[in-house]
Amino acid sequence: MKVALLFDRMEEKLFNKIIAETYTLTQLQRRLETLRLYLNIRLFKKNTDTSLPIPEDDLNWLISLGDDFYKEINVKNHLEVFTKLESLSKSQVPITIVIPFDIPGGEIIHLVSNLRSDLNRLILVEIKHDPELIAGCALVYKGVYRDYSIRAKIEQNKEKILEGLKNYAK
Amino acid sequence: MNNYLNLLLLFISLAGALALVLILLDYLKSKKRLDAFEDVSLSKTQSKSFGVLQKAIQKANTILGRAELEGVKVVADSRVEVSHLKQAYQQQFADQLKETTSQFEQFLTALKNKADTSVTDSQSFMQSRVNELLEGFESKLSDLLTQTQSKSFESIELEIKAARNLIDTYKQQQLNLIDENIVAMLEKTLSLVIAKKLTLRDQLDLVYEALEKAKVEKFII
Repeated sequence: MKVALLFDRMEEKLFNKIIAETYTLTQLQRRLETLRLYLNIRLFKKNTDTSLPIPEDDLNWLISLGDDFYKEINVKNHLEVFTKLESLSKSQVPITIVIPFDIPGGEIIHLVSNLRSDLNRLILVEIKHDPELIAGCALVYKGVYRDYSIRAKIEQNKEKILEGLKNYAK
Repeated sequence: MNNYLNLLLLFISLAGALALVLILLDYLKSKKRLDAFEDVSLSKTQSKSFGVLQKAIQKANTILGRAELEGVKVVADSRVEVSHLKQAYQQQFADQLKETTSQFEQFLTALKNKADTSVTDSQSFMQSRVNELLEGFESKLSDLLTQTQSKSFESIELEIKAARNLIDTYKQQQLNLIDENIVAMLEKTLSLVIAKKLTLRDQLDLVYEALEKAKVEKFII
């Protein structure tokens, strides 16, 4: 039991290290796949060929995890570790932010970092695109949708807007 | 009368026949006697019997004659009686006929008077009945027309009301549609304009503002 607990804690620690530099759920899923590929090569192929089929950004991220990270995973436990990491990734509850514009990657990092510091936990987000929101954003969290966009404001103040337009027309 | 005569003649004939039969019987008797006493006194008895026979024939003839006379008398009497009776009957018949005719004439006159009276009565009754019916018909017709008129007005008013409601509903629906269209156009215009006018910074500020609001509302914790 104690061993299992220790093992769980180790995987959580690994997972926390993974998501420390990961900001979106899509990015997390991609990185876990990349990590699996990397570990397969590292554990079983033992070749020193540097031309790995991994994008540069992800490769840099893999290296940035450090040797301490890879020490915990070996041939015997790698399947178990990955199963747990995947289960932990599925249990994540992201905040879906629906925006009407294209947001650059750097701004996503800045946004998520601010959010994490406000909420004091390693939260992930999901970015979706809806041009009909006009401006602002809509949020989806734990299955609940809330619209904070300009479109929603127009809908809420429709009567006043129409009244104003009619008065203007007169 | 004829029957009486026939009866009389029959009686006479019967009497004559009876007399003849008696004579014949007598003759036969005497003949018998003659046969029985043939030897002794045939001629005596024969002459005696011839005498008796002759007397009987004479008597019969006399009776016949008398009967004939009586018959003729009776016939004559009866003829007179018949003629008297005939006259009396004719007279009586004529009197009766006269009386009957006069009575019949009286009856016809009375009948004619009654018929005239009843015709007059029935005419006046029919007239009054027709007048009553016409009056009743007139009043019912006017009631019916009044009712029909009021019902027609009611139904027309209801129709007008329903049409007005329909028009109002349609007008309201169209106005709502116009409002929706205005809002949609406004949103479309804003989406086109703001997308060009707002910078990335402004957009991000709005996003941060929304996140702050969500935190304040405790939507994300």
